[in-house]
This record gives sequence, structure tokens and C-alpha cells, in this order.
Amino acid sequence: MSFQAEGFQTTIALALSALLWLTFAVQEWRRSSRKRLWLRLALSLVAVASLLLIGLEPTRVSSTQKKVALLSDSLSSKLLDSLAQTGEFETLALFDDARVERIQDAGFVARNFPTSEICVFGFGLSDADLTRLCGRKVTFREIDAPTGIAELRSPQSIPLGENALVSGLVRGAFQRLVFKVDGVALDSLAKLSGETRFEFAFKPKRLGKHLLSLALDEREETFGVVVVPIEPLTILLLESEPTFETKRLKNFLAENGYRLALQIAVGKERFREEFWNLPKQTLRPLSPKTLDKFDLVAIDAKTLLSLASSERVALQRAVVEDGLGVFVTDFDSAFWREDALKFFHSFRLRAESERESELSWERVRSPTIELEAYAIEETFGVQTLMRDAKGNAVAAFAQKGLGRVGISLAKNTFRWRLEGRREAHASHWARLFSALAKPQAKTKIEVPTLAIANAPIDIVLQTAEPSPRLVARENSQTIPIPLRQDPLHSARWRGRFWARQSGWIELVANERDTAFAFVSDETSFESLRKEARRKATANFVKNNVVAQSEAEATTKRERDLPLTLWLFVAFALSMGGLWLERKL
Amino acid sequence: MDNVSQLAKSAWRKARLLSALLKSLAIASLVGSIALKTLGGMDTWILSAVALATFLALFWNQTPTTELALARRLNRFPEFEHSAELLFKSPDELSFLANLQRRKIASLFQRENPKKFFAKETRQAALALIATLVASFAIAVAPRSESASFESPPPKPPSVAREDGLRVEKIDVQILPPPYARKPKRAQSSLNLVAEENAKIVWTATLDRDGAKLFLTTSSGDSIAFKREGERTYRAEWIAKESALYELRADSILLGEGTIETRKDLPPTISALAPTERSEFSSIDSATLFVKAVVSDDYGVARTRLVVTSAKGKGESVKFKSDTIDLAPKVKLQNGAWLCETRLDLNARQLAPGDELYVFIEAEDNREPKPNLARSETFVAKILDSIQIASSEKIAMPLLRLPAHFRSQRQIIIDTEKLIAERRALDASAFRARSENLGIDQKLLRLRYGKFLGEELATSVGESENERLAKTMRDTSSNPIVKLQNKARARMPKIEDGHEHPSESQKPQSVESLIEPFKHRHDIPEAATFFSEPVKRKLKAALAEMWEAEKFLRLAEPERALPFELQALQRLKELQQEARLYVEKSGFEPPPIDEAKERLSGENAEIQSVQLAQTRRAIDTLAVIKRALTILASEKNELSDDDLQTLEDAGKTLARRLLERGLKHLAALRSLRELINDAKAKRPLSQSATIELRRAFADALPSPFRLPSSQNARVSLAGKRYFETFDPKR
Repeated sequence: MSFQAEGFQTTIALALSALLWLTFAVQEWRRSSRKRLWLRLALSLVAVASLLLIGLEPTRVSSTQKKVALLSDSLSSKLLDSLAQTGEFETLALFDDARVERIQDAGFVARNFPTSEICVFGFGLSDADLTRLCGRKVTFREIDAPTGIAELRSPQSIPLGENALVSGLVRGAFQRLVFKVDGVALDSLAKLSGETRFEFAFKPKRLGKHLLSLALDEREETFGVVVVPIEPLTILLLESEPTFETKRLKNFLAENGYRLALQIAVGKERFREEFWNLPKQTLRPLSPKTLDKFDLVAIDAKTLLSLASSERVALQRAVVEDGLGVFVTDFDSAFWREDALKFFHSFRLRAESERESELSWERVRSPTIELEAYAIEETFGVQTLMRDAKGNAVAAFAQKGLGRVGISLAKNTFRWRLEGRREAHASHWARLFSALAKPQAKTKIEVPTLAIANAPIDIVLQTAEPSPRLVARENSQTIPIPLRQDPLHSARWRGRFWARQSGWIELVANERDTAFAFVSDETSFESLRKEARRKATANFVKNNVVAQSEAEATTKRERDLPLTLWLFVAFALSMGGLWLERKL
Repeated sequence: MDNVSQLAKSAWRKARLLSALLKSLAIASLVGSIALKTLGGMDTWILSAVALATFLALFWNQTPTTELALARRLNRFPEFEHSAELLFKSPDELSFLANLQRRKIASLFQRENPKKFFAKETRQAALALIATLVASFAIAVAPRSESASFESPPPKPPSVAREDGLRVEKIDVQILPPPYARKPKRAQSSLNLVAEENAKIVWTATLDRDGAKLFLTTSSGDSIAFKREGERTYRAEWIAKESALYELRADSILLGEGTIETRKDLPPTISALAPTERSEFSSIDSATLFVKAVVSDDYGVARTRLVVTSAKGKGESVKFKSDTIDLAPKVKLQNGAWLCETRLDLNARQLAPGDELYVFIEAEDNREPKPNLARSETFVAKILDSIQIASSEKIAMPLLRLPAHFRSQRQIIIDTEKLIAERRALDASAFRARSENLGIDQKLLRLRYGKFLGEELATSVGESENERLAKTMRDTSSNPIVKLQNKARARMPKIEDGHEHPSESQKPQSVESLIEPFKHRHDIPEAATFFSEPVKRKLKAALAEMWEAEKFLRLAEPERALPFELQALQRLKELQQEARLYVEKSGFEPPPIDEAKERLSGENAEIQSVQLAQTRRAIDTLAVIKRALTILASEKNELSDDDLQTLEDAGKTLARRLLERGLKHLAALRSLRELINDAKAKRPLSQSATIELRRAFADALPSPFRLPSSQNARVSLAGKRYFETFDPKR
């Protein structure tokens, strides 16, 4: 039992009640008849006590704080009605709906319902809204998963010549999913139902921006990809004798703008040096200064054996410390026996028959080619680049510090060029040289696959600059983007940008490095955004730690009328008893 | 009077129904026209029927049906004097005055046409129907709006209706194949043609008006003006030499586009059935080369000939002489090819043993002005020279030199063949005489060979004295060759003749026999023989063949002698092989070279290292198409002059590639024209044309190769600073 009056009010009331009862008790004591004295005293006590209690206003305490039903998406009328009927919820919506009160964001709930439990109905809240509800008790009542494109993975930029993969998941029943590049349909899937995974591959044929779209029945969603040129490598080739392989390779690389320096021994201390797309320069003896200009050195075993010790040390140092790549060709038993070259032959070979076999790597399968009578053992530290038809490793590299040393057992790949299989030849050498070439610390601007207008676009900048600058150019306006450094990775910076309208935007880092991003309009990829919200909200609810607040729930006090009535009855009976006793 | 109320109700009901029907039809027609535009097909009828039924029910229900409502309706007309309700009341209920009024309006109602009172509503509904019918028609015939579809629009037929009212009413194309093709001329109205090479193509176009300047422009740059032939009729001609795309233009207005696929006249094909690649003849007299081939052509073979080149002589004095023989086609085969054959008599070409004849077939077709020429592979016919000894590098020691008289056997054969050939030309006595002379020659040859066997001097059975002497000389000879022969002979098994011969040791030895081995006897021809027994056996067999040949020659039967002569020659040739001794090559065997020590150890002071520097870059012949794709991808609403020029250039490059690779994206060229015209006229660019062009340009580009590239390095500033701080060498 609790009372409305508190503190000194109760004390005064008790004192007065005590005084009153004493007065009654004295009067009863002074009466001549002592008959039924105790009864009289008791009845007076009950009367005073009940009067006191009535005066103190007995109250009932209950928790009457309503939960908040936060609607992120439109619900059916039936569901809304049932919410209203329970009476437990204060229903608020994040969208316009005549049936429900509209709020701007979840911050309103956080401010106005500081302690209520929040139940999210719909597909879930955005990241910004979830951030505002950190520490609050939030439950998520999911409705059916959204139909449409639920997942989408697409590269932001790809180098020319590479295959690009667009993959994802479609949920629901649809007649057709068509994949288009620049408005031209390339591939499609028909009769989708349930959850259907898709993967479309295409190889862009020109540099620049491309618009990709996925048309699901009548609805078409557009996003972008940028095809960037490949930065040609600078390669040094050292050979002890001219070979057809080098001749064809040199021609192919030079035509594509690669910078090549070749030194071929044609006699004792007599060399033929060729410089393609490079100025003439001194190549030998090899020194750190010479090697610093190159991304990759292709050297045959005989030349390696004939190197002076200082040259060998310079080469090793360049590999370990500067990340130079070395590709060893034409090795023989003398190469493997030479201890001084141990650095370059970290591979163990296993005898196999001389054979012709197809080579495979990633998603590529080459035509048949001759192979040496070995296979490379996949020991610790050796990474396979290519395999033959039986799965044996036939090209591999070993990481040496920052650089790599690689070998390949394929012979006479120039044959492919003579047979007209130029693509196989290019792909083969691209695989080898790309894996071995010196990595370049390039500035990279990462933008999410899906960028929506008037929604936050998170941008990650990777750069070696100590104080990078990033701006966005939209509609001939230049908007600087503030950056925050990643606490763990000092070369990563994060920024956020809101594009005002759909279309291509240009991002420029440090006034020289450029990237493009395609911004879709606000109605695009609705199902994808719903799915993202759904996952984010579920994740939030799972990982959210509810804060312990002092007031777990506000209570409500109201007059306990039934009790008051009983107290009055008790007062009336006791007073009536006292009256009746006098009459008896 | 009840009839009047019934009549009124009936008329009203009919009017209501008609009005509802008209209004429903109006709405149904509107719905139907929209459905026809968007959905088409059965959906149009279904939706129209549903709309009709729905609105009919709706409108019917809407109209009130009570007598009061009807009365109110009638009271609108002044004739009823606001007393139409009386019609629906029973006369018994009404007062006298009311009855009078009732009778008045009833007679009025009966007099007038009841429909007149409900006509307004019906009229309104009819007007609404007419208006919606017009609107529906307008919707149905309006052009469909263009929307991006992933299906390419159907290819447009060559347009004949253009702007400014200039129309091509009719166009005829005649293709006249070249005369030599012997094909009839063809006529068509389509602008896409297939023509033979050098065919004449004649376009005859009839326009809707005169005075236009009509041109035909091909993708190869030719521009042909049409000549006015008659009223509104124009004509142009062109000789098809190569495939092309072309446009018909009147001033700057495009009237049509088409393709010309030119079928080239291919050269004839020759399939040689005989002879084989290489033919050898052992005897000139019997050397006849049989040539047989099948020659075919797409239009006709004009001439087939055999080119014969003879090579006479040896070494540096070889003389060549060429000759041509016409090969007449003999048999026409089912597939239109011709079978040609002939025989070549090598003897008539005065070839000698060792000479060669090279033969190939040439065929020309009937193409004009310049025929196509084809030739077959070359066949070689050789007259074998059996006398010639082939020298071989493999034999280290010289062969036994055969005596000159071996040639005599060949000469005898030649002479015998000649005699056989001239038999008809000679009289019997001359023939006989020559035959006998040949027999004598054969005998002399036999005797010469017989000398080696001591034949003529044999007087007893068994080993003759000459033979004994020969044997002694042989055994004691210091000649290494003879010694080898002796060794070989010693290894051979002795031939038992069934007689017991006293051993050498048992025979009494005379003084003569003792000193015999030490004598030198130079006067016995047989002692000169160094041949072994097998050789002698073969020689004897050869002699036997010569005997037979001689016999028949003396009998003036050279035909019967010839086989024996040839056999004898064969045996003599075999003897040559027998007489050869094969020994191990005793040449200089150099010691193995130590490559590592010896290589690159030469003097090279005067040799300088070479340094070359070049810049090389592949020429991108399709760069203009890439630029055009970029322009189209940018989705600009307006194209600048530079953009238009780029698109024009890209169109030319695309046309060239289409001609090379097949006319798959022909519609794209029309789309390009349409796009450029729209851009120039500042009209919105057609979406479907843009998509068509993008597809064509993308297909024209080759798939780019994957090229080597460097990977992105993970940058760690802290790590970099750490290494910089602790690296002692920095």
C-alpha cells in the first residue's frame, strides 16, 4: 500500500491522529462505566486509523510506459489495427502514411521516448537511424524479405582486357533478368523463382565509363563501372643467347607500349642491347640505381650464373627491399647446383615426362603447350600460378621480402602467336608478369557498388600522402570531402559524400588521381536497399548492448478507490459501533 | 388511362436503356483503344467487353426508376403543366378536376411521340459516344512511343517515303551477268543484290515528281548520277567489281539503301588423276607418259594445255626446252567438269637416259577481259641411266671401276629396241642382217665377260690350269683387297661335288708345283680375275642370258631376245652391287669440344656491341569506333560537329569491316544515318538507333587482350618509417 502524501505530511497526520485517539481514549477512560472499555478503545482506534488512512490518500502504483512501434516501411492495415488494438504501442512511421504519425528519423524516438522499448516493423532502419538507437532496447519484427535484387556485387573499376563479373541474388518470381552494358543486352536469365543467384561476365572493349543495368521484368536498375588503362611495366630482359621466345615477347610488349630493355649476349663480352619505348642507357653492371628503374627482370639461368657477385647482390637486394620481380628462364642442372644462386631457386622440382598439356589458372584454360619434364612441388612459401591438365604446378613464385622470384615450365609459347592464338599468348604472359612485377603504391579511391543520390556514400581513400585531399566534382561544382584517417591503417582515409543528383561524379584525390562513380537515383535498387537495411537492423539488434538506465520504467500512481471505500466502511462501522455502544 | 402510364414507363425504360448503352459504348470504345495501343490482341476485346458490361450496369442502376421520378421528368415539359403525377394515379382516387387534368395530359401524351420526352438524354449520350469514338480512333492510329527495349527493333525496310514530299514510287533493279557467264539477266525490286563479278547493274527509279537530281553513292566512294530517261524516270548503271554498300539520294534526301554482294569469278580447279608425282622409265623406247586430269570452272573452261619442259644433259651443261600441248577436253562429267587426257611419247622428244621431263597442266577460264589461270602441280618423268654410278658420301673407299664394255649390253638393248621399232620400215633381209649383227655383238660381249671365267679356254672338266693359276695368284697376292676377299672366301662353306678329292698333302709334289706359287704369270687373262664365287656364279648366269639373247638375235627374233638382254643387264647390275665391299668408315673422328671452355673464346676485338633504341606502338585502326562508342555512351542530347564527324568516320570504318566480315549489322548503318540526320536537325536522338549502333560498334571491336600489370602495393606509412629509421644504410 502506498499513499499520495509523503514525508512530513504523513508525520503530521500521524501526530494528529495519535492526538485524536488519545483524546478519544481519555474521554472513554473518564467515563464512569468501564464496561466494554477495551471495545470502545478499539473501535475508536479503528475509526481514527481509517480516517488517517483516508486522509493520506491510498494509491496504486503501475508501469504505464508504452512501447514505440517504429515503422520503417508501410504495413498492412490489418497489422496496424492489431498494433493499435493492443494498446501497448505508440506507433510512429518514417514515411508518409495517413494512418500513422510521421517522424523525420529515429532521433525523434530517441529524444522523446528515452526509455521506451523500440520495436521496429518493416524492412529495418538505415545505418544513420540505427546509430541513434545505440544502447536502447530495440527489437526487430521482420516482415517478409523484399523481392527483387537482394545482393549485387560489381567492380567499381577494371583494367582493360580483364573480365568483369557482376553477380548477386534475386529473390522472388520473375520472368526475366536481362544484363545490359551501355544499353546493349549481353546475357539474361529466364523464369526466376525463389532465390536465384546470377553471375554475368563481360569484357569491356573500350576505356572509360560504362553503364551496366539489370532489367528485372519491367524494372531496370542502372549502375556504373569504369574501365581503366593498364599502366605498362618497365621490364629488363637479360639473355645469354637470342631466342624466338624473347623475340615474339618483345614485339608483343613493345607494341602495347611496354618499356623494354634487352641485353642479349652475342659473343664474349659482346652484347646486343635493345631499348623499346625507353632511351638508351647503361645496363651492366647491374646496380641498385639501374634496377630501380625496372618493375621486372627476366633473366636466363646462364646469365644469372655469369653475373658478378656484386651484381647478384644488387639484384637480390632489389628483390627483397624494393619489391623487384625476377623471372628465371631456361634453367638447367648447373643453375640448381649453384649455391650462390640459392636465392633464386627456392623451388623443388619433381620429375615428370616431357609432355604437352593445357594450362589453367583462375578461370582461364590455355591451348596445349610443351612443358619441361618436371613439375613444381608446392612446398611452403611457393605459390602456384599455373597448373597443367593433371593439376601439377607448372608455374610458381616464391615471395622474397617485398619482391618475388618466379619460374615457369612452359616452353616455346611463341608457338601460340605463330598459330594465331595471340590472346592465349598475351594472357599467359600477363598472368606471369603481373604476379611477379613490382607492386606500385598507387592511390586508390574506393566507392561502393551502389551509390544513391541524397544518401551517404562512404568513400575510402588509400594513399601514401600524409595529408591527402579529396574533392568531388558534380555538375561543374567542386565539393571538398573531409577525410578521417583509419586508426589502424594509416594509409586509409574515410570520407562521406552526398550526391545531389544521379549520374556520374568525379572524385579527385591530391589533385591528380581520379576515379568516377555512378550515382543512381533515389528510387533505384529499392529491394537491395531494403535488404541492406534488413541485414543491418538484424545485426544491430544482435550486437546491441542495452544501457542500464536509472529509471527502467516510469511508474504511474492513481487513487486506490476500492481501498478508500473499505476504509470509509471501516470508519463508518467503527463510528456506528461507538454510537451503538452508548445506546446499549 | 392505365395504358398511358404503361406507355410512359415503357418509353422511359427504353430511353434509359438506350442512354446507358450509348454511354457504356462510349467508355468501352475509349478503354478498347487504350488497350489496343498498350496490350493488343485478345486483351483489347476482353477489356472492352468488361468495360461495356460494367458501365452498362452502372448507368442502368444510376437512373431512378420510380413513378415519382418519371413524373418529375415529364413535368419538365410545360405541356404537362406540372401534373404528370396524375398519370400514375387511379382515376378513382382523384377528384373531378384532377380527373379532367389527367385526361388532358393523357391525351396529350398519346398524341405526341413518347420518345420525344426522353430524347434529350439519348441525344446527350449519342453525342458523348461520337466524341469518344473520335478520341478512340485518334488514340488507335497515333504512333507508338519509343521505349528502350532489350530486343532490337525489326529491321526497317528500305524507306521510300521521305520528307519534302519526294517519293520513290517504283524502283527496278536489273542484273545483267557478263556474257561469258552465259546466264540470263535478272530483275528485282529489292535494293539488296547479289551479282556476278563484272555484271552490269541497272537501276531504274520512278519518282513522284520531276526535276530531282538522283545519285547513287557506294561505300567505296563511287558516286553515280542517274540519267533522266523519261518523265519522272531515272536510270543508272554500275559494273559490279567488288561488294559494296550504297545509298540512293536525291540532293541530300536519302531515298534508299542497299547492299551489293559481288561473287568473284574463281579460277578453274584442276584435279590431276595421272601421272604420279614422279615417274621413272628404264628404257627410252618404252617411255610413254599418260596424263589425265579433271578440269572445272564456275562459268566455263576456255583452254587447257600441257606445259612440257625437258632437261637434257648433266652437271652444268643441262639444257631446258619448253613446249606446250593443247589438252582437248574429252568427256564432260556430271558436275560440269571436263575430263582431259593425252599421252606423251618421251622417245619422240629425243631424251636420253638421265634426262628429265617436267610436266604441268594449265587451265584458263572464259573470264573476260582477263581470264583466270590455274596450274596443277608439276610431274617429273625421268629416263633412268642404269650405267651411271651413283656416288655416295657414305662409301669411304672407291668402288670397283666396272669396265667400259658393260655399256655394250645397254647398247645392244637399245639397238634391239630400235630394230623392233623399225621392223616395219625395213625389208626382211635388212632386218635379218641387223639382227644377226646384234647377235654377233652379243656374242662378243659374252666372250669378253667369259674371259673372266676362262670359258673359251676351258678344255677339261673341273678346275682348269688357268683357274689353278688364278687361284695361286690370288692366295699369294699382297693386295689388301684380295686379302680381304680370301678371308671372306675362307669363311664360306665349301661346295661338295660328290667326289673325293685327295687332299693337297697327299698329292705327289713336283718341282714345278713347288715353284709355281712364286712365279709371276701375266699372260693369262683369267689370272686377272679377283671375283669371288658368288660373283662368278652370277656372271655365269649373265652369260647364260647372253647366250639365249644371242640365239634369238641370230634367229632374227629380236622381240624374243630382248627379255634375255634385259635380264642379262639386270644381272650385270646386280654384279656391280656384289662387287662392292663395305668397310667401316675410317675417317677422322674429332675429339669432343668442351663448350664451356671453347665457346666465346674467339677473337672478337673488331666486333662491337650493338645498342638500338626504338619506339614502337601498334596502330589502332579502330580508334575512331572507340571514340564513337564513347560519344554514344555519354548519352548527350546534342552532338557537336566534331561528334558528328567522328560518327561519320566510324560509320565508314564499320562499313569496311562489315564488307570484310559479313553484313550482319547492316541495319546499324541505317541507324547511324538516322542518328546523324536527327542530330543535324536538332531532333531528339532515337533511342533504338543508338542501341543498334552501340551493338554494332561493340561487335566490330576485337576483344582486348589481358596485359601484364603491376599490383597495388599495400602502403603502410608506419612500416615505411620504421624501416627508414632502423635501416643503417639509409
